[in-house]
Amino acid sequence: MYDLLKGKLEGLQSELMSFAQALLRTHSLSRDESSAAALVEKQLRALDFDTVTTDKLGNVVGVLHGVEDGPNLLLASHMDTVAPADESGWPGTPWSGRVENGKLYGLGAADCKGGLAAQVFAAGLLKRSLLPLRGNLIVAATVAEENGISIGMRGLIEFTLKEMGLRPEYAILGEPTDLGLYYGHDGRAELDIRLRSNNPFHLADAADLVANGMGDTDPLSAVQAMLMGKPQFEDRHGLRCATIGVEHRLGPEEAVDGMVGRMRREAERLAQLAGAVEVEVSVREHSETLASGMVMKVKRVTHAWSTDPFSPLLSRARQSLAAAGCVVRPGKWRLSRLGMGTSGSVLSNEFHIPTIGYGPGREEEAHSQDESVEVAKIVECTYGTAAMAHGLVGIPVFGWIPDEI
Amino acid sequence: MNTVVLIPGRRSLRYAGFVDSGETCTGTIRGFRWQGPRAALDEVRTIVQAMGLLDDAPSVVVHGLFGGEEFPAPVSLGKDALLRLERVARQSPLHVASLIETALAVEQVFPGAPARLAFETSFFVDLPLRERTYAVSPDLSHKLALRRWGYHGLFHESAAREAARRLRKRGLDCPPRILSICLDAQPEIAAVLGCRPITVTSGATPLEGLPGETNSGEIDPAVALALAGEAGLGPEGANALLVGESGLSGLVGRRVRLDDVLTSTRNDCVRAREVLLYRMLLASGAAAAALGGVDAVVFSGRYVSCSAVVAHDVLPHLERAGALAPQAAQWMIFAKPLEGVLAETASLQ
Repeated sequence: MYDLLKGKLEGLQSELMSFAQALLRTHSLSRDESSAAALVEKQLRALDFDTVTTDKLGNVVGVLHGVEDGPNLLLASHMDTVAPADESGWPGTPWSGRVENGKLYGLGAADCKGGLAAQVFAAGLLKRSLLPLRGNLIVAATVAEENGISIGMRGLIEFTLKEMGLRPEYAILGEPTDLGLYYGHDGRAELDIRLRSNNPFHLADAADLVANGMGDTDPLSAVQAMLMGKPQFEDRHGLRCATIGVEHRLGPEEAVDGMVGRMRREAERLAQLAGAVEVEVSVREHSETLASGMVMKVKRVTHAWSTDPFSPLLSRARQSLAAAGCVVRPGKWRLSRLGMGTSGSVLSNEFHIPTIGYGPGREEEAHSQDESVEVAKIVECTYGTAAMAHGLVGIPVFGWIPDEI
Repeated sequence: MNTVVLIPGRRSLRYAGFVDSGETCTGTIRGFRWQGPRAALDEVRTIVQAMGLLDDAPSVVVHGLFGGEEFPAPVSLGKDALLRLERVARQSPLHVASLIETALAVEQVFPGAPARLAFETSFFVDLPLRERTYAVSPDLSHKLALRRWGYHGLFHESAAREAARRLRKRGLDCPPRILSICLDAQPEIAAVLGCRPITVTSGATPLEGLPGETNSGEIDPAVALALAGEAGLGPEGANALLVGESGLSGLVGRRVRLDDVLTSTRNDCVRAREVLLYRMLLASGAAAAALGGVDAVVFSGRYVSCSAVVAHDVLPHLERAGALAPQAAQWMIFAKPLEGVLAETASLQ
């Protein structure tokens, strides 16, 4: 079977790379993904998916139907990218999609358009191989992952797939794992520390103490634990107010309420050193308008998540990859910089869908200048994802000799 | 009548051209899987055209390994046949998928030519209930289409027919009891009464039965489960080990062919040969018992040239057990290759 997949992939390779390149040449900042969505939809149709649709949020969904109602496997990658920090730092433009020395360059190459291309073509590869599926294989290109705390994914599971009668039993994200099998990462919360006082001098001192006194982190740690913003001052209802934005890592089992309480106590302790200042700490909330025009309220918390490394999903994924001759390397995302994350939190914590990541990009490349992904890894990821997908929802080929008998 | 025979494999496409019953060309297009069947078939078309086979609209016969109960006989290629193939795909995912692909390409490359699909399993559709039934819940058997099959039905059927014809010539006037031994990469033994199969060594998949070139053959299912579970290989890894790295090659420790093992004088082949011949003896004895004696033994298959090795080792045991009729000791060879057998299928339409 794996020879068959390899053979078919060879035939699909140039189409795969053209698609990956086209994705990188298409602007798709968060909440402005419609051009990329159109491209994905066109490719899913070209690969002859059984069902192709773009939902109200702007997510694109393609389904290969199995001969039974389940299990359902979701292959998901986000289409959106962050804005380039400094366009002048890119040779050419961030949307060049150039290939150099075996690498494909462009904004979102690693995070995660390379993964998206691999997932679309992994399903296409199974389709071309005519291998029958038992359950349904769902490929989703989601919106608003980068800036919207995965609201695209939330809507996909809660509304779109539900309406289609599909409830994924497993999910694989195309986020950058450098072809490792990743099964979780820490979370993060964005908080606002609000200080109020009728004495502007007290308030200024308190804001200074809180902003500098709470921002201490271990300078030697490779993993960023907390990021304090600068105080923003305003007058409200006759009171002087300051707001300090904080981004804080959330470890496994760490509840956001507990962290809010700890932050409030610490902020109060520091603020009191300056005088009479009221302190309030809360999780940041705001509304996001999607490319489709839909408005969604967002609470900026991503909880840590982890899938049991001995769960059926990971066991079958490991076994399928090994049988296909791929490297099997389980691990977790490090998320060395704050502000990073995946929709695994939504899938795992909110919808209780066992989730793993398997993508061609390297985590360190995500959101970096001149972001790139190795071409060979996109191809390998396509093959590996197809092998795992077949292991999870395909009809087994046990007992059959691949050649003439 | 001109006939083009196609035998799709994993990485190659075997073809043969026939004018009436005479073979005019034969060969193999390599790299089939990488190029896709369409490109390989285009090449075949060019070859048979050069041989003049297309001058008189030829019939095309495509070989299929598995057709299940949907295909009890060869069938004309068309929309209906393709739909029926899709229905049996889950029973033999790998082979049916590649057959569908080849069939679609045949319709494009040989438009208008009468094309037929001929299946190895057709001969075994009517295997007696007691032989084809596994001792598991009938509901489960029905749901998963679990039953025994043979995978060299084309050889067994043609060889048995030829043996029966010769026995009739010699004066046998009742349905002959034939022991059919197919020597191929996955050898298979069938008991045939008249023209109907009574037993066969293979099972729901080719994993069951005699050891093959890379296939373990019959094995305790607990071993497969232990490999998949305790050994952590999963179903895919266990499958790769049992069907791709075991059997004669597994016993010898290097990739070998059936004829290597049967004829080699190398020491490393001795154990594999002993195991194979012993398993063949047991299967032949079981077939003889089911038939109540054997009127003829007929060999066929790709390695039919090794028949003597098997005959000299196995038949004396059966003779001593009184299972062979006197004339059966004079075993027969059915030397026609698979291409020729398939070409006959076209002439039967």
